[in-house]
Amino acid sequence: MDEAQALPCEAIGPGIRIENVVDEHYDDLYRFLRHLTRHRETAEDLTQQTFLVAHLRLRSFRGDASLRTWLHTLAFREYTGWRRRRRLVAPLLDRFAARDPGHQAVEDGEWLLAALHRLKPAMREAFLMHEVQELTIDEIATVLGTPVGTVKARLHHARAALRRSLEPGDHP
Amino acid sequence: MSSKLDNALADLRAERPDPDAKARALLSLRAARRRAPRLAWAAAATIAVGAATFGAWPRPSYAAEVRTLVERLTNVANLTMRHYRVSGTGAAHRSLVVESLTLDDRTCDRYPERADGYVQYSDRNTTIDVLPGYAVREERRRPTHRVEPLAPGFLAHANATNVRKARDGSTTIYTFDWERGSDRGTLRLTADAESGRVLTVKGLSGKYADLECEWEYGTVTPSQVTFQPGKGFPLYDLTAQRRSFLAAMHAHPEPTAKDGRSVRLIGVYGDESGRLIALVEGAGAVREENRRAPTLDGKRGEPFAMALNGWENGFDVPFRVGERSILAVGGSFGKVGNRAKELVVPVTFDGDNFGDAVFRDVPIVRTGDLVRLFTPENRPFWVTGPSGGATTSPGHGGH
Repeated sequence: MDEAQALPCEAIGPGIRIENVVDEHYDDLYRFLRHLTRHRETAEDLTQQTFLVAHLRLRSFRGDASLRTWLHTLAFREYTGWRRRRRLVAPLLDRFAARDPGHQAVEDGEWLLAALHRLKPAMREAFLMHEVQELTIDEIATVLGTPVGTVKARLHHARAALRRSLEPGDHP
Repeated sequence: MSSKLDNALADLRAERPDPDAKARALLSLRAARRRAPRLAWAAAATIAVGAATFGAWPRPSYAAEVRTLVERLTNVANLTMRHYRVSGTGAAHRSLVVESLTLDDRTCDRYPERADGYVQYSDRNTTIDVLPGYAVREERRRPTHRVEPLAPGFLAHANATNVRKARDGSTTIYTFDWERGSDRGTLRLTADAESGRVLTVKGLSGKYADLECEWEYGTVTPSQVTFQPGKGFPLYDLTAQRRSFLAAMHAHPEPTAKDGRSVRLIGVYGDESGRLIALVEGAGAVREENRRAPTLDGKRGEPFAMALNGWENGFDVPFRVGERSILAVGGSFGKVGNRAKELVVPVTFDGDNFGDAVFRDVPIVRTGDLVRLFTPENRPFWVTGPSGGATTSPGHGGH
């Protein structure tokens, strides 16, 4: 953290300093990307890239949405770009690992993440934004660029799917 | 929601990054903020660009190569489905159905051979990664479809070590160790001796000691895996284009000079989306709010920028390739041809003012997608080192 403190406090937007933005929002965006990607290093890379983009564009941030929503929008774009680019060549063993009850993590969070990643991406993304990131439905609509009704529908379907997965015998 | 779900959500909300990660992010921002000296220039002139360097684009199509690839897939890996079961549950899972294979004939590119040995063909939505013995298909917003591994590819991707190979009738048995992070173990793989197809994988010890998988191969008609390139399929050889770009960095086209300042047009690139960038040596940083697009044959484009630069607060700054320091001036035009009769490139003059450099009869290197050509892994292709950080050092303008 010494490096962070050594940074010059350069004002980028009106009253906004990028160091403060990183300090305040890093954990939040990292958590968001970590759950979307399920990969720690990738989440760190995407979080860092999000702040680089934010750094570049902060001057053009008009304040139409909250800074947090805007950052989530940038992070989500980084994530969708990553998802498009990545090669889905995860070794076969990883797939088995995710389904192997003898070795699957037993923590509730891991269970939920596994369940979420069996949902359609759109449902998973909306659910994570609302329930974990605690964005409002309007904010999610801004991040996704979709109507509010669409967000509500995705949340409804995600919750219904998760409830089904909670039924006995359908999860470890 | 249930308490189980509430507990799970609480777990997810409690997720925290590595304590050093934030510091690394701040450090990368600081690296990206180093300032480049601003140079100013204004002129109007005609310049001959090293057309020979770039050759004529698009190059011959890679459709034939892709066809060969697909034919190979149908011959070697005509898999329709895979089943596996995990001991203890007895449950069998179906996880693969090969569907028709299509690539957008307007945007398909051939990616370079990468360090991991892959060659990649891709349009914006579908990617085929090719590795000897292993091929993968990815489709956006749809489940992954994987064309089946052969034994060598499986062993390579499992990072197999200490591989012991034995023949047993019509099958080949591989016993190998693997390790990933703190996980390790020993597996046994059987493959069809003739085709190399993986038949079973069984865990012997370690993390996946209980693992037991088997593959079932169905029959597939070749038409199930088809590739139908459109007429005049414009595939671009990105490897060759990147090589040409780097070669151009050694060329020294005649500079255009005025009032003691000079600029060189190093190259012009356009893509299928109608975006164009002019690479200019000698221009200085541009304030974002003053960013202007080039004018192509009398048409002013919408400003377009790429993350080639070492970013500076509020500026597009030159990026460095070897000894050259280049400013990319970009615009979107809707459509870009192979040559510009007249290209007007705005360049910096005393920071906030601009002069226009006029270039006539300029060849344009055509490619599928500028972003993919220059930043295939989300950073300039000539930049090496860890990903995610600042990509290039800010440049120092020109003369």
